[in-house]
Order: sequence, then C-alpha cells, then structure tokens
Amino acid sequence: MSQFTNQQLANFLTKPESAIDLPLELWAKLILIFRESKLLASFYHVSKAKKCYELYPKYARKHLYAAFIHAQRQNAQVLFESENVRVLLAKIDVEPIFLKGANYILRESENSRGRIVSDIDVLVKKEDLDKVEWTLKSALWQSEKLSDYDEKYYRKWAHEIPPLFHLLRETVLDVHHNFYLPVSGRSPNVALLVSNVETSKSGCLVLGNAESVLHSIIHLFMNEDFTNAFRDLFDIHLLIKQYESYDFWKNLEVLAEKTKFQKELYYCLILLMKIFGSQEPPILANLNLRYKTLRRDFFINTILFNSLTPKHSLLNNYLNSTSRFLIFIRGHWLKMPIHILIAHLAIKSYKGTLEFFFGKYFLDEK
Amino acid sequence: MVVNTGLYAFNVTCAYRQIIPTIDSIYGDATPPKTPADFEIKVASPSFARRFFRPQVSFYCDQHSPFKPLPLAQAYALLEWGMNWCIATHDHTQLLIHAAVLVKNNQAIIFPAVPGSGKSTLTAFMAMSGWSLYSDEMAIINLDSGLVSPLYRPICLKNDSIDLVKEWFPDSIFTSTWKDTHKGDVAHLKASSWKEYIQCKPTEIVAIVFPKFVANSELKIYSLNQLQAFETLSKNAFNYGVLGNLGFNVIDKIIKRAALFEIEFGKLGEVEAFLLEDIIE
Repeated sequence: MSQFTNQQLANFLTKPESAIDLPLELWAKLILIFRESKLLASFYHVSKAKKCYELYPKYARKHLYAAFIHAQRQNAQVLFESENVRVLLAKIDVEPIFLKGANYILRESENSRGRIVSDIDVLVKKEDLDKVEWTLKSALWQSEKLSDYDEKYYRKWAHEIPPLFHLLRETVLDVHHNFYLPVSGRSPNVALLVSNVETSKSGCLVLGNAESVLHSIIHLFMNEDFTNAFRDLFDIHLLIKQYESYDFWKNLEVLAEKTKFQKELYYCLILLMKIFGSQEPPILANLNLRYKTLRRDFFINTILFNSLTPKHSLLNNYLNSTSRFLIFIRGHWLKMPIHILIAHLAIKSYKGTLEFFFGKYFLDEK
Repeated sequence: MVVNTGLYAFNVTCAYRQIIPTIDSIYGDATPPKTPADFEIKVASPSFARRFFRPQVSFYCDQHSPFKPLPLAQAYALLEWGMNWCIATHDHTQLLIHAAVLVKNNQAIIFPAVPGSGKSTLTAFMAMSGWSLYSDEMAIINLDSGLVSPLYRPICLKNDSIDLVKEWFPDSIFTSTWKDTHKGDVAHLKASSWKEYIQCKPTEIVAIVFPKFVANSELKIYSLNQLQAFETLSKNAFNYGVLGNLGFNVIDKIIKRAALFEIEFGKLGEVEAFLLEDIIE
C-alpha cells in the first residue's frame, strides 16, 4: 500500500498548510520521499511563502532547513559557474544559452527557489561545438573516460557531447547542440526555440518563457528515465503559474505546433490538471479535439500518471514499477530507429545482467 | 531497530543478525527517541551472488548506497562509518568539523586532526580519565551560538592503539576487532554511558588543539595564529563548502574566543597535564 498518492504529494506542495497537522510518523515518510525526489528544499520555500513553516513540528523544520541551506549553496554555485562559462566562451565569441536548472536559477523563476541542480546545461550552435569543447577542456573542464560504445553514442547520435566536469570544483557541465537526439528524427529546429532568448541579471542568455516551458515538457515526456519526473512536473506547474497570460498560451501553442511536440504538451496539461489541480488552460480545447482518444487517455491516466510517482520504496508498487518499465521502453523507442535500438539494448542489458548478479561495481576498472 | 545517538536517531535494518548484539552493546542503554528516526539506514548484501560468493555488505541510506561494498566481516565498522556519512552529508543546520571533542568543567576543547594523528587514542585516554566525551569524530557546532553539542557514539580505535587502550582500561566495552579495513584494524570502544551522555549540554569551545603523535617525543606546544587555525579548521569541516558564509562566520567567532595550539606528543599524560594547567579553569 502506497503511503501517499500523487495528488496528496502535490497537495502538500501547493497547499503546504495541509501538512501542519500531519502526525510525526507521516512527516518522517514525507521527508524521505521529498528528499529522494529533490523536492525537500522546494517544500521549505513553499511553506515559508505560505507562512506555515513556523507551524511545522521541530522535527520537520530541522530537515527542511538543512535541505534549504544545501539548495541555497547550489544556487550560488550555479550563478558562479554560469558566469564563468559565459566569460570563458565570450572569448571565442560564443554565447551559450542556459537550460533547465541553470535557466530557472538565472531567470529567478519561482521554481528556482530550493531547486536542486545536478549539472549545468548549456546550448551552443552545432558549428561551434568543436571550439567550445576545446576551449572548455583547456580551462580545467574535462570528460570522464568513456567506453568506446558510450563515446560513439554521444558523438554520433546524441544532442550533447559527453558530460564535462570541472577538475577542481567537480561541477558537471552538459554541452548541448539540440534539445533532443537527432538520431530520433524528432529533434526540433533549434532556431524556433532560441528566437526569443532573454538575458539574465548577470548577462547570461536563457530561453524565453514559453520556450522554457516547452523545453521542460520535451525533456520530461520524451525521457526514458522518470526518476525526477514528479519534480520536473512541479517545475512546469510553477513556471506556468508564474508566466501564464494570453500571449504565453498563444506562444506555447504555436511553438508546440511548429516543433511537433503538441502531443507532449497535451499529456502535460492533462497531468497538471489531474495531479496539481491546475485550471483548464485556454488552449486545451483545441488540443482535445486533435488528441483526445480513449487509448491516449489510458496512456496518460495509467502509464504516465503512475510513472510520475516519485521512485521511493514507500511508494513503489506493481503498477508504478510496470509503468516505469514501459516508459523506459517507450523512451528508448522514441530515441532511436529500431535497428540501432536493438543493438543498444543488447549491450546495455548485458552489462546490467552482470551487475545484477555481481554488484554494481563489478565492471569498474580496478 | 532504532539507534539513538542523542542528536540523531537512526532506524537500522540489518540483513545480518550477527551485528545486532554489537549494536546493542554500544547503544543498548540509550532511551528510545521521542521523534521518528532521522535516517533510514540498512546494512545488506549488494547483490544476490554476493550473499554466497565472497560475501559482501553494502551500507544504504534510504534508497542509495554511497560507498563501495566491504567484506561481510566489516559490517559493524561499515555501519558506524555510514552513520557518520549520513550526518555529515545531511545536517547543514550546524557546522560539522572532523574533530574529537572533550569537556571539563563546562569548557570544551576540540581536537581536529587527520587520520594517524593519535586523536582517537588521546580521546579514549581522556574520556577514561574523567573528561566528558562529546565526540571522537565530529564536533557539532551551532551556527548562531558557536556552542558544541555532544553525540552519543563510541570511539573508533585503530591498529596498535586497540591493544594499548585495552591494556589501560581492561574493563571497558570493546567491539571485536575488524581486521584489514581501509583504515587498518579497527575496534570500537564504548567510552561513556547514556546516563553520562544526557548530562552533557551544549558547551562553549575554549580551545582548539591540533594534535600530532610522534613516538617518544617530549610534549611540544606551538601557539597558532588565528589565520592558521582558520585554515586548518575550515579544511577539517565536512560541510564548510555547503555552509558558505554561515560556516565562515561561526569559525570566525570560535577562533576569536578560543586558545589555539598545535601540539606534538609522545605521552598522553603530558597532554592532559598541559590542558588542565594552561587551558581549563
């Protein structure tokens, strides 16, 4: 039996006052789940904003406060690193556009408050990729040694180069040249998403409002890994809440159509209403006409909905582990043409099987 | 089972019944905590085959295992290290320094040190000679007040010091000795009781002493300036990087109030005599 439903978890985030009377045993579980889903510091901020943090039990406050300090530090780190990367690449006349977590923090959107960031994502023009990589590598950004297979995966099929990490500070930097894998045949025309860039206070480029939301939607609903999906949906919820206007919805609708991610936009809007109780968006009627089918409703309400449940042993059940598995298969299916996919899964599952029997360090070089 | 270390409670799941008596011998006298556990931890096999084939154990904090697995025989030592890891990577509400903390007459001395400096041997000696043991491993310092809080944990002894301390205090409770860990041979010593622990209150730090054991050496005392102490203290803090200016401010506060020394010692008795004479009032 799961401890909390998706709606209950979302309710704590949108109405943090509902946690005031929570018994301590449930607090302990909620803290574990939110920490694992990288939402504990966000929860601190929403409870502070609604002035109910002070009413929480001391036991809860100490865990929330510790998470807040940790996230605050990450926030400062992202500002520092993004400025460094901007200045470094300016020397070769490249202006990187910051994506995802770094985008939120730079634009100071509501969802950046307490946002945990595992790496910094930037987008550069494909033709600049070589000189960007070379410049970063001569400034203490290095890449891990990858297997020949993984190296080929990145270079030939992916929309990014292998992750770079800073030798001294260990920050991870992902350099992208597109928003989705070109090998899939579904990568959008980059120009459509970068025509509206904004400049942050520190002078870094970030995507426009509607573009930021659409990228978050692409990232979430085309992914095979739903580990952080609940957090990612909460990001989108807050972004829309902050930026929605007549123009915003119009832009988002047009952008989704031009980039051919309307179906993913539809998934997202339905799930936001279902989980976060968002009001029906003005563009939904149009999308309903085109995309509402029984089969698709089942996919959204069962498979996507259950995959979105945070991955934690207190919430895991047969339904969400099966759904996550199906999403894993689907994510790969979307990513690659079938002949490449079969070879890819064969190699990955061979490694996975060895690790299952002998432990995850079995394949490490000694 | 729940392990209460005073400031933090751990809910421990053990796949290996063998280590439960050891946990009981160290933490069994603590009263159960009033709030739920702060950390869900587990000591279990990393994979199916590793239950039978050269058995190993992994430490899990909630859903993840932060370290590589160790041979089954080191399960208890792994549990203790894992508990340190949980505190050091999660509690950013306080400054956490890798240091022993001992208290006399309501005055705390902290001993930050690198492994091999003789810190734990010194801690065991002093804890058994009438000082209150606040910690062998971690100074937990309030960010506002700069006071150091006690933690209910055993002392982790290594290599030659295990037999030495057993010789001095034969009646104390020791765990078995775990051989050939990455720190060499390791045994844990229960150096205080829960009854003694609950008498310990957050205490002002009056001195910071960086110890260094040099065999057969006379006691040598060097006075440190605030800059040297600051550098060494921040380097020894687990979460200085996370705390940023909060950490800077509290270290600044501490070094301005405390006496600052580096000592080289060969005899523990001389260290205690120096501390009692020149620092503790």
